[in-house]
Amino acid sequence: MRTTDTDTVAGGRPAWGRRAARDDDPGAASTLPLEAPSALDLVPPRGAQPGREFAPHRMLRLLAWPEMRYLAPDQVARHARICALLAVRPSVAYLVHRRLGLAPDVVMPVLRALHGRGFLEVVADGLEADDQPLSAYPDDDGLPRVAPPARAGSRWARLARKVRG
Amino acid sequence: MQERVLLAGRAGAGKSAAIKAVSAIAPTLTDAGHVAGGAALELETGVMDIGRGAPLMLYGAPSPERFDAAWEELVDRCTGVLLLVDHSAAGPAEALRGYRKLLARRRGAPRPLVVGVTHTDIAPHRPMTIYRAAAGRDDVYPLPLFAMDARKPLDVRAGVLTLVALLEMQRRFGGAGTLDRD
Repeated sequence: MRTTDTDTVAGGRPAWGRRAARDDDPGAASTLPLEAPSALDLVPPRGAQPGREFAPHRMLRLLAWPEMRYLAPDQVARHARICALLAVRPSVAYLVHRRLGLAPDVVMPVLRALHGRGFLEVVADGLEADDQPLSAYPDDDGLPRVAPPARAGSRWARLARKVRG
Repeated sequence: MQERVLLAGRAGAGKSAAIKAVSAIAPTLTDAGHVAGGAALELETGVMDIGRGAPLMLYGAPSPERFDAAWEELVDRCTGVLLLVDHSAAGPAEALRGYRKLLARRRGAPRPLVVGVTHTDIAPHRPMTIYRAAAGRDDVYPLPLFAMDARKPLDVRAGVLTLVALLEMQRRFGGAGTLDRD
């Protein structure tokens, strides 16, 4: 799923790519050019696959910092904590909300938006390869409800078949 | 734990404006005592409410050209550094590189660093990409570097909250940060 600049995070507030309303800025309602979401213009950095959806059990790492000042004031601290966590300690997507003590329905849209714009990269997670889209995992508690399918020829798959007889 | 943020940068980078923009009190001068080299030092001080109980203290550091001997001690006394780089001044990328070298030569525990690039409206023709090399691609994690109008509370607040978030994560999960590499 490719995120667009009409994405919103919880509460209907504007997310990445749309400038937050600011009293001191006459251009508050204007749309931030998407080609310059990062100060260093490093987006998409190497390794990023913007627009490609990630599965919740994949490890995410911060590649570049988005411009925090374009967020609504009440969102800055939350987004900064999510980015800081993924910078200091790359984390499996469905564990991010637990590590931060936030609700999963608050964190997941932010992760999708960050990933969709190339600020995050998916790194090796050591689990079975699985490219199921995020929508396959109801995230009311942030945990995948569908076990990742084992590759047909993997050791675990062979063992499972053996156990099942 | 009370966070103490050192605002660093050359003269005119916007340190005083930044403190004034977010401080809950009128900025005051605080006697920092005698630092290395015997120099008496006064720091511009502000207090910022970050919604976490203890207020965050902001200290404006003199430029290291004037207080080179005190620089390391000042950084040691603070928990993080918000470095302001004047985008319109001569050699802003070199200034960033110079500050990073200063910070890297410290022997103490590394301090999280956030960079605010100020006065971008005065030099709009100069691209932000000039900081790429100085930002250090080989860092443990990407250096948080933002355009920042030091007069605007929301801009400064965004930088400070990013620094606070980095502090929290480094305390919880470790990590050398971005200061000890150059």
